[in-house]
Amino acid sequence: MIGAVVGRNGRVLLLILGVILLQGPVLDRVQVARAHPDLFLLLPVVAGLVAGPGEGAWVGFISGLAADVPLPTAFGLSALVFTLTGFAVGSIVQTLIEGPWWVVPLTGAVGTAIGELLYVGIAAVTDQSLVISDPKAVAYIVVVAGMANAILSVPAAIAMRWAVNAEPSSPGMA
Amino acid sequence: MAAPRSGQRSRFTVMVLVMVCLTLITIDTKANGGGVLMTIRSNARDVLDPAQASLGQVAQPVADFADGLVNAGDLKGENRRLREENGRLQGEVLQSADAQRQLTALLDLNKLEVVKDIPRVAARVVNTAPSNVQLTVEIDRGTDDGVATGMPVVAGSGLVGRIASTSGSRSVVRLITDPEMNVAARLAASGVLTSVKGNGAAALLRAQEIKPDQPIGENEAVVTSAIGGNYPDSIPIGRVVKAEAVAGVSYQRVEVEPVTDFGRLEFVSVLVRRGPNGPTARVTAEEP
Repeated sequence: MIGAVVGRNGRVLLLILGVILLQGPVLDRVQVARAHPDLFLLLPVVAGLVAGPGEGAWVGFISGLAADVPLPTAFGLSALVFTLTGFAVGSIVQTLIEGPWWVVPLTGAVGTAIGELLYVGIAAVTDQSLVISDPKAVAYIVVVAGMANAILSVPAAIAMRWAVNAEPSSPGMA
Repeated sequence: MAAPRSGQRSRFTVMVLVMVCLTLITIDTKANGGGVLMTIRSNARDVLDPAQASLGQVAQPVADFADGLVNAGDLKGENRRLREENGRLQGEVLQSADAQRQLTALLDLNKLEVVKDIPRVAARVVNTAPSNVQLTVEIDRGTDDGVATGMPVVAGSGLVGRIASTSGSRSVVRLITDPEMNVAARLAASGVLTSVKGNGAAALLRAQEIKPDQPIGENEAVVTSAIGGNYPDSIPIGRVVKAEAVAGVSYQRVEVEPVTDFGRLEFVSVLVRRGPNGPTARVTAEEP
């Protein structure tokens, strides 16, 4: 009902607004082994999966800007990382046509890992001292956050498919 | 023909977005913590905060339930450990009362800061960093409450971190578990000076540059040192849980368990320290 009124872009913005409201008060407090699910990063991953690289990049850009608001690092850093992540995931999974069920959680995990590593790499290049760079700590986060996001990727992909009104034959979503 | 055209459009889109992001990063970095982007961020934060706080209160039982579900094993172990620690601490409190009185008298005599005399601003932790690669938390006090960049933050009696950035009503605290954090410290019993380095959210802290011949007691407390001026003296950081000599290395490998449980931070206090040139005058440079 709401979806029909606000249109495709409005639905995506609604989804991002929902993530803004959920991530801090709820998901950040559900720590699994000292890391938490990152819906801001998961959104461009599932957008790339469901709707392709262009949509993944756009959703990553908006989601990243929203994520940047409370962070002490340079404004635009998350937006840059999530834009590239959404585009990369969209470009890679375009080759997977109507894949099996596990394509979605696997993409969620791998896309999150790509995003976290890009984050650390770009932060190092742009001299963002608040982003951790210790290889062991980063590897740990990549694994734990990837697993947490893999679990959430199925409902996130369903929500994103609703938002972008994608064809039901999207990879892993058939 | 449609697919290549769509691919070109996607590449063009991502190139434009990347350029916009790089421009934003450049502008924000050049503004060095100020400027129009910081104003926009602060205002956006102040607008979103009430909604997030309300939702946080409503969702707290759900978050607690989910947290309890995934960390049930940890909680049982933690309860057992806390019960044991409680008994031990009750004994230590009795013993340390007289030592504390003597220490306070000595610090007063030398005109040094006493932690309990430093004004505090109580704050609630409203957000942890949405990014896993930033070890920070957000608190509901900012410049309007006298909080400034660089001020130390404690929870109960343990060190939490330092203020990394502030807006009118919010501040971001960088945790001592961040590998970029180095805190000037000393071993409480032996007085050995060291610096404590963060090692990631899931790992223990590391006390650095302690020579092999320097004695370290089992469970020895590690507290802040006033050297460098970034922290007041004697804020508890943690306890030594492992100390071992490493072949070929001229320092001991010393692991410190923090006294603060960073996974369950709810309330903290900002130590409002005012130097001669303003609130951040004495807390600008990070200790090596």
